[in-house]
Amino acid sequence: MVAEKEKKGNEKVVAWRYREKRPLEFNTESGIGVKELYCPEDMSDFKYERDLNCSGEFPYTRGIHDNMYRGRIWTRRVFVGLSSPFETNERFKYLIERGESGLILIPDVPTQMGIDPDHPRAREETGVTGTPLYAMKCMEEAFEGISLDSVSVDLRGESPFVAASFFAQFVANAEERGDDIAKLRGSLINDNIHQNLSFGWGFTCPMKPNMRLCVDIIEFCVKHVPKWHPFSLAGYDVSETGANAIQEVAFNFGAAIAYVEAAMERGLDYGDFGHRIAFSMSTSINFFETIAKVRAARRVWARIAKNRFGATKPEACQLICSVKTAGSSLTEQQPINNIVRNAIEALAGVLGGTQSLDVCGYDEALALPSEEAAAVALNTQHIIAYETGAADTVDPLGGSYYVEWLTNKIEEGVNEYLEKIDEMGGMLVAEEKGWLRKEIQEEVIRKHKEVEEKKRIVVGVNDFIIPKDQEIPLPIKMADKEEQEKASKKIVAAVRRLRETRDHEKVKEALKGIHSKLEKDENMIRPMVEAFKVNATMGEILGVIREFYGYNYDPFDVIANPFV
Amino acid sequence: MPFSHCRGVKSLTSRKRKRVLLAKPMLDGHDRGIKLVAKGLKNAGVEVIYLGLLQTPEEIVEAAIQEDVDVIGLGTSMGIHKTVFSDTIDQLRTKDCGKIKVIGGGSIPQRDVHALKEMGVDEIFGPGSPIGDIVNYVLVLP
Repeated sequence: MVAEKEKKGNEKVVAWRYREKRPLEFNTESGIGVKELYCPEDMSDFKYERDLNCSGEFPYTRGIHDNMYRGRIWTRRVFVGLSSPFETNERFKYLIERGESGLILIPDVPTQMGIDPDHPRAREETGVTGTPLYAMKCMEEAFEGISLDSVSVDLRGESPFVAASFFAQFVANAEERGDDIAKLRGSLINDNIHQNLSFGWGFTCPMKPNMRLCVDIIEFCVKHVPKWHPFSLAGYDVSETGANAIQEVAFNFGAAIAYVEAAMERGLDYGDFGHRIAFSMSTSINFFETIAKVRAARRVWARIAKNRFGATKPEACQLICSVKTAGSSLTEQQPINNIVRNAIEALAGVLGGTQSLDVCGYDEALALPSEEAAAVALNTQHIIAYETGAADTVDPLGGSYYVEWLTNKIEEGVNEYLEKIDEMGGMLVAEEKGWLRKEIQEEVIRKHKEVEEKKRIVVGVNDFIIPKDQEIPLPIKMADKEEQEKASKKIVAAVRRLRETRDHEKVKEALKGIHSKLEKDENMIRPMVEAFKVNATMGEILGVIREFYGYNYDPFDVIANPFV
Repeated sequence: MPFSHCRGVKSLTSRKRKRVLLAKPMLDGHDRGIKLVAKGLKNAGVEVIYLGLLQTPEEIVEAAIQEDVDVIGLGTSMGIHKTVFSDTIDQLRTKDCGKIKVIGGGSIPQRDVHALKEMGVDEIFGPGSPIGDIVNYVLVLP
């Protein structure tokens, strides 16, 4: 594609002449060849009841609820992870006032690794790209003045190890506030395989305690927090790491199968928790492939639940889906264009029939979303919900020759991958072998090559480039080094103060309680909740668990267990 | 298969192969970009030592000295690039290794590039930079 400014003589600019060289072949982002035109023949083997059925009917291709958004608009979220729980609380309230129905809390990186802010390796990154959540008081500050039964809260804990800690903090705070935990609504990213795959932090959270805690969370929720989604698979992260649409769904399901089987081994009945599994997915800029992906995912999962886990209840076959627009599709160049990208991706999520939607800030290629960017992200959802009419009828693209064909193609691809994973011995083996990583890496290289060779145009990056000074300026709140250092020092001081002022004996007792539950092989969530209530920190609680399993108290092995 | 943009770059036969050390400093796990850079450099005949994730500036500089590299390339997407680069450059100066070039990539905004260069960073390749630019930068170094 070449847009060229042509000059006649030296003085007059004549016109933009658009000399299009369209490619001979077209592919979706994951490389599925796209035909020029789709006709009834492309759906020749199509059986309505078997492949689509009405919304709310097996295999749920058209949506899990019969009336979909006519009953209720999807949960509208915008992620928040500011440098302190206090600021995060202010942003939550700002967004709730603007019509947000679900909160997302992103922890900072040290928290995601399970280390406290005063850890020597944590200091520089404390509060930088998320909120530090090391003790119950962080949750107390983050949710102060917010009615917890009125919003659903997505805690992005990543690995079960850390997720269990968040969840216990959250529950501890709710109980201390006097909230009924049976009424808590929300979800928890609780997925070690994907965290390992996306961030390479496997060493901080060994697999064995992870699988145990993952099942502990499920068990605890089934019994005590029935409205919570105890495990949400982090397909989004894998997609951002570079997985294509087919891989994203397949790896999500591969991991879900591993966790479900672990829970069933514990003696849990799939029928009791199957309806609480949630899948996080990315909505890429490749519009129709995203829509087809979400639709295909529901169909594949319904069949897995029925055939593999023997689910009989309809709810246990329904895939609950939460999507986020793709951060990796956003560009640093001409950031105003990101508003458009986000809107298109959000619409794809809605047309795919998601239950919850998180839209990126236009500034997310460079910074944490500013207040303005978060408001635009939320309004994007309101506009889709109330202005476009996309929410007025169920699965508006159902029956489109192209969309149905593409849905079938994705389903085929996902099933092929799942067979391969099964042959290999399951997702844990595939991950250990490095096979998943290799598959994704090949995809990253392929995609990158397409962009560098201009087979895929990214506006402002490899075509339609304009000089930096001609870009439309947008307010982007960049992290400031001095401010950051100040904020992080404050947090480190707060955690030290907490350690000094709390009842040391009670903490010691609570940590002993955790140890004894570990020995007895009992559910860990309740003792973790109790430990948080007496102001134990996340690093301490996870340290005790690590030690029990034969690992160092500290994943970096620079601090020793102070309680021995 | 080499990237198309790496073709036609200056031949390396006439001189010593360049050595580049790549690393992800601190706790940042976003390694999608740096792995592509490593591959691009390798395909162009550059010797690449990739230290991986979770490297401290001390570890990076120590490895760079041991490996006798021409360039240190750091990828950072967590907004702490100023700290990371100033610590790395301080370490290099303390160890009297100022001749090693330092380049960076990741989510580094244009507006910070000037300050980073003042600090002693030799080049910044921001989001969306073609890998060929990084390869060429390394290959034409004296």
